[in-house]
Amino acid sequence: MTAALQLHGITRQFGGVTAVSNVDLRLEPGERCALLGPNGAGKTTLFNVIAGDITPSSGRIELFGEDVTRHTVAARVWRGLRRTYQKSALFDQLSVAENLFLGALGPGGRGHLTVTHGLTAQRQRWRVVERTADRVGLADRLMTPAHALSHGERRQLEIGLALGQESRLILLDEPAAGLSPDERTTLTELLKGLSRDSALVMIEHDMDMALALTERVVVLSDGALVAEGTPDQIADDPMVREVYLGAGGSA
Amino acid sequence: MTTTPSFSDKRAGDAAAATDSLHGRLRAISARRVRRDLLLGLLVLVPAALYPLVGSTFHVQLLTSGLITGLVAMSFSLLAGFSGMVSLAQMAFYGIAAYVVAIGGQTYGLPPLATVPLGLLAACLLAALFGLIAVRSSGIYFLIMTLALLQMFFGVAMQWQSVTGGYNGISGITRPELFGLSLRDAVPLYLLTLAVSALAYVGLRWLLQTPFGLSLQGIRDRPERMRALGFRVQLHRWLLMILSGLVAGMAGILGVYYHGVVSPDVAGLTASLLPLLAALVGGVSSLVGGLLGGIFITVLISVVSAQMQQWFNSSHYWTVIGIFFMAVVIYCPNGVFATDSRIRVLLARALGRRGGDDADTAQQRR
Repeated sequence: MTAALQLHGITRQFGGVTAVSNVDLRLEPGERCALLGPNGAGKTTLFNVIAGDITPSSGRIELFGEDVTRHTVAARVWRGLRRTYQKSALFDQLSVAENLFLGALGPGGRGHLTVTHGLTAQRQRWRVVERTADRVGLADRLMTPAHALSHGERRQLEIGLALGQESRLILLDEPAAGLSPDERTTLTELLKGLSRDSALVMIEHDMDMALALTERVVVLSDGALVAEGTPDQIADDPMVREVYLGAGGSA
Repeated sequence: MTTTPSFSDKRAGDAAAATDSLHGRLRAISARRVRRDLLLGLLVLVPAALYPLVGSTFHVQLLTSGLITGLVAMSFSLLAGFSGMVSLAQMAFYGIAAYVVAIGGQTYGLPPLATVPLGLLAACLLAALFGLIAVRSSGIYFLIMTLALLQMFFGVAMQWQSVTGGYNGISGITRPELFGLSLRDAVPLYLLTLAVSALAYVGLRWLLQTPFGLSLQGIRDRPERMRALGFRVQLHRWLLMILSGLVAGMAGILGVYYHGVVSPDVAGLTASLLPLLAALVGGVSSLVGGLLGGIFITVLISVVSAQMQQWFNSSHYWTVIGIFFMAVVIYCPNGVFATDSRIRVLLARALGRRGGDDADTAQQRR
């Protein structure tokens, strides 16, 4: 089976600093994987490299068996890659429905211009919007402008934007950032309920949440992959404790 | 909803399903808005078209000139308000259309039927060329880039004497006939300008409510996110630039017939600031604001300059206009007609209405 995502020796340097160092990773379709690591470990940089915002200094990226190392951000999106941001990047002046519409239009439109968009296609897009709103728990907020949403709802919409149409691999950058415990529970349930059509990679500082949602955990430290395993293995790994809690943290 | 027994139950059911779906609901909302705007539009357009019956020739000409400035302002707002590109180059598109019509007519003796499309095409091509260079940059860099392009156009118009007539430009351009009516008279030209403005406005309004228009607003607010959603941000920007060039070009052709002359000054800094100020007065986030702003500022300048002349025997009317603009920026930063404008709030209060509620604002941007 072709992998959803395959990284071959990805390295990224900024001047003299190596943010990501020789990372190899393989992700199967529908697999859910957590990317852990302390601040500055290179997690978001790795996301940016996969998404195409940053070109790797060396290494190769394959999406669904296709080499996309030199592809633009948009070209990767058309192949099913989506991402969310640590800090919500929503269209504040547009309604929830319009936000989700753009989320469905961009990837589905394959970058074509949509001036004279057939009515059937439009109706179908709006159905996708309704479905997506339902999946992220915003079905009764469709007409609300995004700026009027609560922080928790904004995080939900952030994920909704990435679900869009035909997503096959979603990179979630700290989906629960800044959420209250209650909102966190809502979001965890929501993520659990997502269809297995898409593989997920999730950066998350909340260990419990990451471990509850994924079947595989990858730990990054100083840009390098230092541990990999099931949530249970990782939770017991003394090396991971050291990375997270500093030397002697296991005591 | 009450259920009435009906023989065509299936159709009634389909209709209900259609209105219950999100798409149906949105279409119902937009249909209501279209009806409301159409009514509002007629309320403005009909008196405007009848105005020459009561107004003097001077005032009709003033309105014509105001609408022409308004069209350029609208082309500016289209870029600034709907895609976040603050362009100073709009008068270059105006200028090239004007020059093509003038040169085609005066130098080569071509009929307007040929020169007008050529002028519009030239404006689009110049906008496409400028766009190729400018859409790569954004914010202040885009502004500086368009300023540089405007200056280059000015330079060429000034230096290329054999074609453009240099400093003096080209004069003596006669107005053509349209449907047997000579545009030499003030009223037919005014009506034509009014019709062109209205059509341009309706066309752009239609475009902005399509998915393309929604994409543009997304690009204005979060270009990075739009890129991450798979949109071709620069292609959208570039096409919008060409479209705005087309609108500015329409204004240029009306302008060259209105003035009967074209000189490098059309692309000078002062001339380029005028539509920008008009858009500012009207509010850059609305298209109709540009049109109204164009009329407003043209009338304002005419009144202020006349009064300054009369009272102080002075031609320094820009000082007064400057003070006025400071007031606009302070009290109505989103334009005189915007929902948060103090003037509009005061007017609404006087008329006993609320100043626009929150649920509506998401829909009112256009």
